[in-house]
Amino acid sequence: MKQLMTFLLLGGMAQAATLNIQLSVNVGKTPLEFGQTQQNVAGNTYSLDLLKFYLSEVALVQADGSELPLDGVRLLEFNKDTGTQNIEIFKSDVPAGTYKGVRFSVGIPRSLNHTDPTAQNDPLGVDSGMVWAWNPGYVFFKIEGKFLKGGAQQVFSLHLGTDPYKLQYNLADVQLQKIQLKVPESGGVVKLKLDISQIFKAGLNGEQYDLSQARYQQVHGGPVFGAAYLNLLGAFSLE
Amino acid sequence: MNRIVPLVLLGVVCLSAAPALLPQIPTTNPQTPEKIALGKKLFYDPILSQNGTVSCASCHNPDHAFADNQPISPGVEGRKGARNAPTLTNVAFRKSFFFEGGAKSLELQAMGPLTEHNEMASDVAETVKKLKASAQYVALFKAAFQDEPSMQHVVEAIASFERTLVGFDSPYDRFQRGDLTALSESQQRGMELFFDKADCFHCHSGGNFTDELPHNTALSFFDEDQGLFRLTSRDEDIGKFKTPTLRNIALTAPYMHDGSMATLRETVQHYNDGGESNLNADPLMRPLGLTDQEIDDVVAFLESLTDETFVKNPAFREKP
Repeated sequence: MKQLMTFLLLGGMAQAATLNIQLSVNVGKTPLEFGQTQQNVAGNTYSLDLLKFYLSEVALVQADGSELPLDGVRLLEFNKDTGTQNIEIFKSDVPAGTYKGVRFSVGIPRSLNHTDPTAQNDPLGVDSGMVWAWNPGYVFFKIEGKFLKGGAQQVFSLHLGTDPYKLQYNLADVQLQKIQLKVPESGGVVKLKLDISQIFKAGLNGEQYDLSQARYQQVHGGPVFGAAYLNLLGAFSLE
Repeated sequence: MNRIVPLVLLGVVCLSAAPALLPQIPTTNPQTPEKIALGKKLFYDPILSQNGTVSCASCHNPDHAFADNQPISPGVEGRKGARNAPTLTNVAFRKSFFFEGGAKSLELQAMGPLTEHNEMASDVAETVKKLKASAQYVALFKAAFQDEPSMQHVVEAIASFERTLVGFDSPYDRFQRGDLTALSESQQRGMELFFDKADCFHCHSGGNFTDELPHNTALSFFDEDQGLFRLTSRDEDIGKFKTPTLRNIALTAPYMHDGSMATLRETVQHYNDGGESNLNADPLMRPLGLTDQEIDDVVAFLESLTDETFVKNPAFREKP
């Protein structure tokens, strides 16, 4: 609301419009279905049970490349009950207009990342299930599922976090003008895609992200963070 | 008056041995009998673990001063992490938690073992759902918080119970209060060594025998557990672990962050030797020159820190 008031006071020309950001989660080009088995590049047969992450630092990119920051930290959860296609993940009032892109982070801004979660409110409290109690900050991105090992199901998880691994996305194009995000007065929708198969794109030091190897099964820190981070940097795109 | 009430609820029998000590009670989570009762029930209830097999008390056993007698306690499905379960003796007085000291409240600390994959592996939403399905728990949460079960209230209640685990009545405390028969001659010699030649007191300082700071005690040249480094990513922090309390230490073998030393004597001998070669070793780590008799005396002094009233306190037990 404060943002909107600022626009009205300063702008005068642009009318407020509602911006919706929607996300579709896919495996490659196929809509993700939780519980359904997939193959990754290492040849593991896997299925997913949970995808959960913080979205923050959302900003629209204006014609001159400057940012229009939009307030708020959101905790998003996808599981078998939520669906995965065209899910609204962010809503805000913005000045109507055409924007050159969107920027956002998956994670928590550093300024919020090291407080005591037991003293925070939703979505930063302990009921978020995104807390590392030994306090390097919050889990930014969580994916959990199962893979087949010797015919038996075994769980795997990736809990990515810590300040250096906040994922920052810049889905904007000021130079070539190929991205035109139109937000008319009647409201606009920005559609994002997350290709979850990208998580398995590559492992450490040229090896594959192979769930049959112990170091890729319960990833809550350590060197595999770097591989997962790089893989995820290419996982979001504009539709 | 506000200060007196929490002290009473802590069950502090006597703070005179440690007048500078004050319990750390967040203003957002004052002690109440209802919270303590709920926290105690939760502490002993495996309902909080993923598969209903592990409770807080599985690794924090009252018979061992709320520590364990294993190097690494098994979690759900027998999985093992990397660290030795610490005692909860006088945990109310601690300002930070875990061997890095990264958690600044007991409430936040409780989230660690609850959700850690190798310990209780609890899923927050699932656990809250289980508690809400229990009429008994719904009533207890309502009495304690005037609210329905949530993970926030789970950790607040457990922390409230843990803050009652207070004991200052060991032979050492009684000696400090003037009972000169409380310590044997060997223990008295050990006490002198502790505060002088053996130099233990630099890190094991204050009424709870901890400076609450991380140190590298030259335990090994290489350790997969990098200690404080995992919080700071600074090379000089590799192998630093927070000083543990020594209260009830005779009951909490094995020792060190990884439980790698079986006895107190072995541990004191490690310090007497000056530790292993290690670039990050604390400057205080050097050969101490203690004789065998002096090592025995230091061990005897450490044994005088056992508080039998703490260990036998029925209020701490699941079934008093």
